[in-house]
Amino acid sequence: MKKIALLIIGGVLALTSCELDRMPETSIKDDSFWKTENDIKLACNYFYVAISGLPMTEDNRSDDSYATTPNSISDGSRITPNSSGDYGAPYERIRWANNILEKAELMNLDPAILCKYKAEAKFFRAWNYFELVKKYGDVPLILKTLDIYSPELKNPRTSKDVVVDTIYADLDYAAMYLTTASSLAKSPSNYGRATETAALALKSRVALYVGTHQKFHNYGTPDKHLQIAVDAANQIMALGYHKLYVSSNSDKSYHDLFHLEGEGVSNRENILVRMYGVDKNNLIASHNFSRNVEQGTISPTRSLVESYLCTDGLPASISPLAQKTETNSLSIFVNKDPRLNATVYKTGDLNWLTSNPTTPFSPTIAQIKTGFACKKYVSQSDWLLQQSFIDRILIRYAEVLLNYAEAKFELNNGAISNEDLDKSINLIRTRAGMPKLTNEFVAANGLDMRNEIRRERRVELALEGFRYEDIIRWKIAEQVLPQAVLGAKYFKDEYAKVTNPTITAEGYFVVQPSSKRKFDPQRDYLYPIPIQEIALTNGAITQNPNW
Amino acid sequence: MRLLGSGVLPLDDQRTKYVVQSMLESPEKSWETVETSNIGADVALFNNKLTFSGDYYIKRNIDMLVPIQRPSTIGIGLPRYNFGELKTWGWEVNLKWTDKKGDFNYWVGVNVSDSQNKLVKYEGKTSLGPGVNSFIEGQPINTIWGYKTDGLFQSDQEYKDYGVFQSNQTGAGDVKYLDLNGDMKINSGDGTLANHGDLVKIGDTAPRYTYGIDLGCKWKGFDFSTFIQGVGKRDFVVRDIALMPLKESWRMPNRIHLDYWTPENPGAFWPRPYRGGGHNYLPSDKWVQNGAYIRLKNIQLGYTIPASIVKRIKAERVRVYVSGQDLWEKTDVFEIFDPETKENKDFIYPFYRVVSFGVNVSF
Repeated sequence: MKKIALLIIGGVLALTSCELDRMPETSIKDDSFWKTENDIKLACNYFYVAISGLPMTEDNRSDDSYATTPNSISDGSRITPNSSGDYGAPYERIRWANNILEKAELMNLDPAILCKYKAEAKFFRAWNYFELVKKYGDVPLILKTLDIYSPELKNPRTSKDVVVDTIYADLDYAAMYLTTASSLAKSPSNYGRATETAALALKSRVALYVGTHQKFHNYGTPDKHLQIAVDAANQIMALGYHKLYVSSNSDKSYHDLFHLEGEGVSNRENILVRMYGVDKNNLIASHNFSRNVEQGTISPTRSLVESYLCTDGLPASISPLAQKTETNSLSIFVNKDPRLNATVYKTGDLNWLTSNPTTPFSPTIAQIKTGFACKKYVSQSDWLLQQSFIDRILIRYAEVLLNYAEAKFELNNGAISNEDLDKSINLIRTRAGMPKLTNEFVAANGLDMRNEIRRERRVELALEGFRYEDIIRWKIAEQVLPQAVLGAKYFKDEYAKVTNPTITAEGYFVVQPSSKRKFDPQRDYLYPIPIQEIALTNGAITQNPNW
Repeated sequence: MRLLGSGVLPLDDQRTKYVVQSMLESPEKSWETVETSNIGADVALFNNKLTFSGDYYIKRNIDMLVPIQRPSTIGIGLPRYNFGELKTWGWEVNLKWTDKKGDFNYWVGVNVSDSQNKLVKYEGKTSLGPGVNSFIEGQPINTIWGYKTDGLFQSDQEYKDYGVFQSNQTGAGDVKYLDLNGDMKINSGDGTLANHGDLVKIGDTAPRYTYGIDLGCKWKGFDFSTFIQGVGKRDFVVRDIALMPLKESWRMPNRIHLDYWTPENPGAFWPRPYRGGGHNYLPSDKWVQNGAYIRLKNIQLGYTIPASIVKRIKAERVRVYVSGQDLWEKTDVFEIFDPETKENKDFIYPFYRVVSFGVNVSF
């Protein structure tokens, strides 16, 4: 008989696993953190790394620039994302601002000191709510820190009117308690922090956005907001501290503004910058924008380049100074607003991005798909180093002046006095080396004042991240975005390496044909709400129309 | 526990610190409780020549630590909470035969096991998206969701006639996705189990029916052994970055891409090469790999030199052998990927086969 062994084991065991994360002893507990002024200051410092820096690519959504592949917002092909940083990231900053505001109430510090930091938190809370409103319209308004059980997580979207009023209130508080720009200049160790004028400038930006959005999309009370925009800009202009930057070589002022020459507290045009620094021996924060540009991250389009006036103040289409038929790659630059030279590389420009600074720029569409290369913030030596420490300007005085002129014009039923032009746009024109804009000049040449004010904004702030929002609020995205994206003109001898290019009848490079571009006015003026936000709120958050 | 992250920034060109709370505290977080029930049998027959052992188990992880989802308005990273309940069940069988015929000893062993799981509780959350979804209530851990495909478009006109919007770049030579819910666009609906649009569950990443075969024999001075290992069923996802030919080409050999679509090569496997062609590499049944495989993990042949010869060099025992590791396998996975690759990995150490020769000498 063979031996048989049979064993049955049954039972219930209770075990524990070892997956608990222990907090490293070196990290700081939030509860025990908030004690001294320095603590709340370090907390506020976070906002300055969370604001947008370089590379700047915001305008790739618009008709002004193009990267190496199509932009799905610009060409109307985006689909509703599952989740999105456009929606999520601002709420992270907003939570941190709310946390600082709550903790400040519990801190045993001089209220006058606390107000300064509460003002910073409110400034950046306003900044981030504006980011949300521009993209999504109505968004949940959260003004306190939430935990995972908070019923507010299921809040529906708050009307954007209410959100905008909150933005104004936060900015009013910020303007009241933030340091003034002039006192900051006297104690430059705080240079880089938000100031009273930053709050006012942001307020004018928000109000102009909301006012013109309401006006051209036909709802609300546009005049109320336009008046706020005028008043906020006026306050800054009346303070007299900020002025347009003038370089030691005044012909290069506009160029130098975006380079190391224009950096620092002595440049009174800059109102808020994203700081980088210091140099390769003292590396704190850097970007690599010059390499980004070489690799085609943001290349100006023909549409932008063509918007520059001739030096007589007339559009190229009617100016006798323009070379109407381009005979080589330089033709489009002839007799143009000097800002074009400071914004776009042209054939022969030195300091092109190669190892030798004397190598001139020559036409290419290999990486720079439009054939036009961005010059703002770009430097050959940074390209070589693969590190750049140039600060990115986020708010500058020229924008305040442009906000003022546009808000005045729209508020006043499409009219602006020469006096108002002189204290705003004409300061910018003069610095740029362009003739003044006057009502008489506009009338004499059959121009349209609104077009000229908008053109001035487009040119002065080119590639700095304003254009997409401008065409949205002016409700012209439906006209400009479906157009083909065009580049430089193709000249066989200058583009020796290019074979069989796709070009228009005029010979312009077709970067993206109009057949691949569309804009649905019923849908595309707002971003789609990420699917997850709807699913996680059981539908309390609703989708934007037609998405 | 409240965690503050920190870093530096230049304010007025001075190195300045910042702090931020990057993750929410979770004071109620605690240990997981695991309950296991199992039943097993060990059997030996024919003078222990045949041994068998079998085991069946059910494991309940009652307060499993899981990442949780909240609307973005919470504005902070969330740690894991004890909000999940996972049921795991499976079985394992071992069978071994050992016998001897004169000088000839041999053995054959086989083991097979299987394991399945289901996330029983997850706060009722069933949101999902394209790709691998780790946690969906009522589903196994790590289910793969993707679109169904139907070959490649042979012309721009074919895409136009199809009428379903896929992307702005789509045209001849691109992957055709099926519009299962008939809304004329390819999307994931509400992104939930109740409405997942055109997404379908393609599989899950857990290996099923893992097995091993162990055989060997000895005869006089010779010995031979081999071990074969395999998985009966497994799906895995390759990241688009490891597939797209013009994205990060240093990640993959050119030769797998040679069979790409052109009007002259309409039956190609790969879509047309397209810079930034992410639209062809969405998670879909085309790219999910059937990770089933069988592999010769080890094979060895040895010879022990007779003691009478060995004595002359004053050694006790001398054995020479040749052995091979991972010499052969059979799988449907793309030839450049190892079927034992983990999920979403692309920069792993290259797979290699080993053949070694050796001498064991003991004095």
